Amino acid sequence: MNCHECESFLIDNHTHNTEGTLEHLNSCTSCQEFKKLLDSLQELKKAPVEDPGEAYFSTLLQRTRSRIEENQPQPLLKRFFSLFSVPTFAFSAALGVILVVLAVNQIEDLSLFQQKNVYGSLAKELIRMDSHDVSDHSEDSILDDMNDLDDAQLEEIIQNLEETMLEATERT
Amino acid sequence: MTPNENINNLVLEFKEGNEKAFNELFLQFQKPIYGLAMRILANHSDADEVVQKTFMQVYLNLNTFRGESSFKTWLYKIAINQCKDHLKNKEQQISKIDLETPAMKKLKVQSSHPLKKIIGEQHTQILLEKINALSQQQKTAIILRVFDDLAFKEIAEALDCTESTAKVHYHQAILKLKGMFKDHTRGELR
Repeated sequence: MNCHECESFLIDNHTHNTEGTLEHLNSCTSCQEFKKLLDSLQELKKAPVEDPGEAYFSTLLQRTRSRIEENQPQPLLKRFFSLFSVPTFAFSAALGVILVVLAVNQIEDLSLFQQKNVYGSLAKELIRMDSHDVSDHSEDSILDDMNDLDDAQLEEIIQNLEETMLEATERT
Repeated sequence: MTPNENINNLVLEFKEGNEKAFNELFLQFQKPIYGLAMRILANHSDADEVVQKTFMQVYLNLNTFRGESSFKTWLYKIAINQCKDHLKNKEQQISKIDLETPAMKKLKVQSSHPLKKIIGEQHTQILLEKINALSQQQKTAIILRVFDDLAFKEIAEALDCTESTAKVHYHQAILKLKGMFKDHTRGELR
């Protein structure tokens, strides 16, 4: 066994030694130092980080949740619902309005994930009812599994819908 | 049920809309993530900010987590990236960050012999200083391996590199520390 092999072995198996490693360690000062350093690092593990106290951890979840609430994607929601106020979207209004009324009544009580699902369903319905050119990309890849959408994808769908809406407005 | 299975279940439950599952995950990991952030940032308010941002990211992006790595590794990766962003925002360099927190300064190495204790404290102090002087990747590899007991595969996922590269970072770090200690001892003998 050479030094590199011994070091590699010690890195992977710090607490266990084979006969070969022990033999090498007995005759190699450099690897002994290497092992000593690994031992020191394990000692270092016992060093605690500054304890902020239980009071800190007992409020951390609540504070983080408040920040999550503050960072919920309100602008995206507003943009999405603003699509329904345009007259040229009348073709989807019947179902849209019902869904929106239902969603608005309940949406604030829902988790962010559930909200995304609602937005996803709304977008899906709109695209399904919409005979305009929502891009192929949206129809092919996004409709498959709307619930897995992340914010960027949802953003893309909304953009597509806005473009469609704009085109429809211009045609009118 | 193993701890990993329990975590996977909580992740699934949260994806299905169970908010309490997120709380459980938070409570399980808040202290390790705080410890990681403190070791990298060495400042309570910075670590607090990073912990909150990390869990915000987890909450908002858990639907993108596909389970290709463990939840723990995914979480650590987010936390490390948050630390890096935080440092970048503060225009600091991770190589200049002092790992030696006040708690570490007060560290009491377990030993009953007073002289041994002093030697132990000095050694720990020096070791922390030397780790501080390592490159960012090497230092993070040491922190994740030594303090957080991560396997090299997990370190690789957290650092966005291959397992062998993670192992090289760690190996190089140990060799560098060994060299630094040699220089330190030589300096003392002169």
